[in-house]
Order: sequence, then structure tokens, then C-alpha cells
Amino acid sequence: MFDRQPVTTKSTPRQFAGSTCRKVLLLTVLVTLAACGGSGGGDATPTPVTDPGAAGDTLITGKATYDLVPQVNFDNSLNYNSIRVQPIRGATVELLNSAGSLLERATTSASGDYQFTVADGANVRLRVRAELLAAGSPAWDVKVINNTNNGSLYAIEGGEFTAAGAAVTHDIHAPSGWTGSGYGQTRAAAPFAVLDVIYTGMQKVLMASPGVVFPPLSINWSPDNRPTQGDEARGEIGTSFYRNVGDDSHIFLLGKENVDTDEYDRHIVAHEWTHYLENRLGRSDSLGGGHSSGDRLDPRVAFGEGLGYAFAGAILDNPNTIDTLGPGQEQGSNINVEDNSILNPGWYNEGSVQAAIYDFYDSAVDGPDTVELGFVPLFDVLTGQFADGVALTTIHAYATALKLANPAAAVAIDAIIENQHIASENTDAFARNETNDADNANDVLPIYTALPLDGRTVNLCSIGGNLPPASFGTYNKLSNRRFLHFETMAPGTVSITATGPNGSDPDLILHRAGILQVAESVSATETLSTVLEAGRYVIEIYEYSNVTDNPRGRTCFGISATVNQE
Amino acid sequence: MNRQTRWQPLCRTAVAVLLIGVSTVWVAADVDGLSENSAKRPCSDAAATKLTSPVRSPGKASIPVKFVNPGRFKANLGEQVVVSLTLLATEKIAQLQVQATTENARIVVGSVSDTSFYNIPAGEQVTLDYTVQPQTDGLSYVNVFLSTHSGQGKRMASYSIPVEVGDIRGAVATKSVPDLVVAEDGVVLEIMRARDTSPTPPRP
Repeated sequence: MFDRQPVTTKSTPRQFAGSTCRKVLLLTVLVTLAACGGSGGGDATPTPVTDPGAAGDTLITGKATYDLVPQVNFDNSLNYNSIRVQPIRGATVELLNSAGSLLERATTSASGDYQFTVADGANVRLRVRAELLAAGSPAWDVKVINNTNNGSLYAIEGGEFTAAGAAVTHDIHAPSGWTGSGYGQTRAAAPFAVLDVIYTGMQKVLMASPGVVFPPLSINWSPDNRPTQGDEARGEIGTSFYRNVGDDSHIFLLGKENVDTDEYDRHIVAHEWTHYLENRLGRSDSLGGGHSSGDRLDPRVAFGEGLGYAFAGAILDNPNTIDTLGPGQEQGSNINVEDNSILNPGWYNEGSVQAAIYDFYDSAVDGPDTVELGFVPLFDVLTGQFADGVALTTIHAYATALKLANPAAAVAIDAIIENQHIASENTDAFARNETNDADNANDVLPIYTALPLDGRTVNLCSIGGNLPPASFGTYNKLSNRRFLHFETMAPGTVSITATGPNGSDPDLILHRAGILQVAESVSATETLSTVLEAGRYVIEIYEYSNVTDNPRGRTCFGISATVNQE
Repeated sequence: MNRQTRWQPLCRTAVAVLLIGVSTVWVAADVDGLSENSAKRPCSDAAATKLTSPVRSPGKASIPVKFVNPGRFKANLGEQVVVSLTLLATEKIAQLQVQATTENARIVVGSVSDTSFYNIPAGEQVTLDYTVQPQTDGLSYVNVFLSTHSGQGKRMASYSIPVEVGDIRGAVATKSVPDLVVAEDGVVLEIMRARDTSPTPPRP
């Protein structure tokens, strides 16, 4: 949990000095984060100042804090009667003169402390930006911005004061804005509450990868963000989610009071941040789309969502995800990733995936869970073997890579996987020997069908509709999309053809650790032809209508392939 | 491939409840520019290089209920409008509770604002009509909160269904927003007032 603070190294008077010492400062903070076992912060007080600097200077020290509104477990609500003051950790803090010009810039410590040196008698004020910023290695750039106000970066600013004498202490605090029955004032704490979850997660990652360079991330939060699909600039974001286009990564979070707010739903923030981790530091083949407990999902979606909840539990060292909403933020949902009783368990269920991955991580012994790998091996695999593998990003691929990297834990990992009705022993990233067919004997297994390169035809069916087990929904549900694999022994041109009945529309996607090519013409026959290096590849095939809102239903294709090795 | 159009995010949309029917229809709203698009890329035989594709997470876990396209509703100021919402159960649901509130509007007396349904089979559809009366120009909302109760506990989902009154662009444009400040490094800041202590005596 965020409040399980490590011991913070006492700072020297200059440790958190302004911009001239910034690189040294950042490095110091980072080393502290990496060495602190993953839960920074601390309530260390600033080191007493005895040497404020040159004669005529005033040393300003203080602490930046925000209001954390805690959740209540028994009814999944927010508890405004127990607001806690927490440090703003690792954020940019600025000292401005009375004209508003920047005098110095620094970064708050793991306990929220900062210090500046100014000329004695200067009139100044403090500003804290809702950003985490560090350059070099490691590096990060996280900003909490307002998507309903031109993407502006949130910041708090204090009143003007005079820095007089050898030293003064001046604290700055971001209040929640709660005034008893609602948010009667500006919700200044919200962006910093969000930022703190990211800070906590980054510390976990720094344990695994001390030199990690996090790609820039913008977190879009607004008190107008509501669960309506529409204009994001108006706050109509649909739900809290992660989106990446090119190198532009964004998390959007709900913030509409009395409807759905997520800034204090720390697991929701950590869940979305895990999607960012998976996407930007590892690899995600997930499709997006709706999902809920019990859904039989495309295994890539099941893995991504399950990973998100499991990692959120690991990052916050709390398996219980609470998602508050409703009038007064007095209702909500609860997902406990320690719960191994999953509706429709299997490799296609996010609940099974989250329960398994959290059991790989945690120290609790429950049911078949006898292993405690901790966060580092899970992250290493996510960003290593798993991300680089040819197989799609599913629990089979992840568990296989995890066992290869941690052979001593293989038996324990198998036991956890088996408990979720997922093949374990003698399987591999391509789910060899998987027997869980989700009660659909015709259109689920094998997960990958071998595609010969000699022109012979294999048959596969795409399903779509809402009547399990004949079909499980559309777009991202189980067997809307089917998979094949093939291997070329030498470079050459591979041509793949899929043919369906009149009125059908097969589409093909070629994968090898990411998407290589797409063929999606409007036709009952689809062809994909491309030059490939020797190696193993994955083909995804689907009936187009089955990934739309108007599914054609079960549609079968004949698929054949040839290779021309010149 | 243009995954931004083909690989849609889930368009979780609006709601309502009352009647029952069987349907296999699942319609996702096409209002955010990210949903399905019938335009398809031509087949290409270009050399295989990795495509960079947009990624969007599905968002928070929802409940086993899908919204059958509620769209956006329009009304004139002071007029009553029926906001009709349809839900499709994707799993058997022992209990589904539906609560509704409004913003900038009121629910007309007689319209149900809190109701429950029991033992809804998978694949069945539930429809509810809310009669609301917008009270301001611009955007009003019907906020719907769904709760399902099952062996896995209580799960909830929220949706805001917009009701547009008059020229919403004008109404949005006149909405007050916090002032912005351009910092010296060019970053645009939204400044919020902090609570700070007055200067304290120097430490010993």
C-alpha cells in the first residue's frame, strides 16, 4: 500500500535545491526510489537547516501535500470523514517571485519535501505542478492534464509570502474541495491523488529496471469527465481507459461527481497504467472492446484485462479493487483478485488471468497457490520473453515465458494455472494440449491451427452473437477471431487465401510479435501475400460482420497457403 | 490497417428498462469517431513491416449487460422527452437493479427511477423508459447506475445519457472554465488555489 513507507534517506540541505542541482537531485531521488523496495514516500521531516547558504540568503523549506479520500471496503464508497493528508511525491515544485516569474524549480522528495534558497526579504510564492519529470536514465514524463480545458496541466499555487531571515518553513496543500455534502470547492487534490498512484507504480518498475526510460504519458482527468461516449473535450469519455496512438500515450479518467469519479479509485488508475506498461514497455495484442466478469473473451483481451487488475493489486499491495461511483460516491463495485472462484474459468476469462497472475506475485498461500515470485520476475517476463515472442499475448504465452525464466517455480505456476482450468503441463505459448473449449466443441479449439504451406486447405469458423456457448458476443469475444500458425524455413513470398460462402467477408491479419500486414477487402475471398523472412508466424482470421454490431454468425472459411522461395 | 476505425473501443452507451424481448442485437454507439467503419483498406502486397497501431484499453470492467444503442436525445426547453434505454443480458443475471438521476432536468412523476429485475436469462433484453423534462438550455443528462448481484458479489456500472436542448455548442462555449496561465517554459497551466501556511518563524 502507498502508506507503507520506506525509510527515507535524510537529505542534506542542498539535496532538494533548485534547478542548478536538478540533475543530481533527480538521480538522488531515483536511487532512493530504486533502493526503497517499491513503496516510497515516508514521513521523514525535512532535515533541520543550520546552513542556509550565503549570507543574505533565506532557505525556504516545506512540504507539499494533498488530501487522499480513502475507500470503504464494506460498501465500496469513498469516505469523506477520513480524509488523510499525503505527501505529493516526486512532483515539480516552483518558486515564483511576486511578478509570477520563475525563480527556481525543484522536485519534491519521497516525503513531499522541497527547499529553495532566495535572497533575504524576497516576496515569493510556491507552485506545484501535477507532473513527474526526470531526464536521463531512468527517465519519466507524466502529466495530469485537463482534457476539458485545452489539455492544460494542473498546478496548485499558494499565496505570496516574504522569505525573511535565515530560514522559513512554508507548506503547500492541495485540498479535496469536499465541503460536507459535495465538492463545493475546487478539487485540487484529485490530480495529485492520480499522480501518486503512478509514482507508486514507477517505484515497482524501478526495482526491476533501474535504468528504465518511461515513455511520456498524459493523464486526462476533469471534473466533467463522465460515462458518455462523445466529445472528449466536453468530458464525454465513455469510461476510464488507456489509449496510445503512435508515441502518444494517454490515460483518461472519470471525474464527474455524483456519477462516477476515479481519481481516488487507486486500483482503477493502476489498472489503466498497467495497460500503458504492457503497451509501451512490453507488448499488447489486445483489441479493446467491452468486457465484464464471466465473459468468454478473445484470449488477448482476457490477458490484458486480467494483467491490469493483477498488477494493480501488486503495485498497491492490495488485491481488492474498489470502483466507487453513484450519488455522493457512495456505491461501487469490488473485484478481489485473490478470489479464485471464477465464473466460466479458463484462458479466455479475465478473472482467471488476474487470479493466476496475482497468485504468482503474492505471498499469501491460498488454494493451490504456494509460490511468491514478487513483482520483478513478472515485469521482467512481461517486457522480455513474452513481449518478444511470436505467439499472441495470452496467458499461455505469459505462463510459458514465466516458467522458462523461473524454472524452480514451474510446478507451482502449473498448479495455479490448472486451478483456473487452463492447460499447464506439456503446453507452450501456442497452447498446445489446451482442452478447455468453453463448452463449444466445434469452434474454440485448437487455439492455433497449423497452416500447411503446400496449398492444402484447412477449415476454421468465426462465430458471433450472444447465445453462449454457440457464440459469446461480438468484436472481442471468444472465437470471433480464429488463429493459425505456420513456419517458413527460408525467405520467400507467402500467399494466403481465405474463402467463405457467398455474402461472407473474411479478413486476415499477419502477426509476428506485432501486426505485420492486414488484408481486409470486401469480398468472400481474401488474399494476403507478402515477402517473409524464415520463421514462425501467426494468422488471425475473422468474419468481418462478427466483429461489428451486426454479426452474420457462424461463418466457416477454407484457408490455404503457399510459399515461393526464390 | 487503420485500427482506429476497425478496432473499436467498446462504446458503452446509454440505457433504460422495462420490457422484455429476446434479441441478438448489440449495437455500439458510433459517436466518438472510433467505432466501426465500413471503409476497408485494400489488400496490400507490400513487404512485411510492422505496423504501428493505435491501442485502446477496454476501460473498467463492466457488468454482463450491454447497452443497445441509446444514442443521444434531443428536446426543447421545458418539453418532456422519453429517454428509452435497452439493456441486453449477456449472462444469466439473478438481480439487476437500475437507478437513475438527472442533471439539469427532472424525471417526470410516474417515471421509474429505481427498479429491479430478477432472473434475466442470457440473451434477453430489458427496456426502460424515462420521461424527463430538461430545465436548462444545453446538455442535460440522465445518469443510470446498474447493479448486478451474483455469486461474485455486487458489480456496478454507470452511464450518462445526454439530452440536448437547443444549441449545445453555444451552451458549452459559454460555460465558465478555469483561467489558464502560460508558464515560462511554454506549458499551459490550470492553476488551482492551494491552502498554504503563512510564513513561520525560522527554525532553530
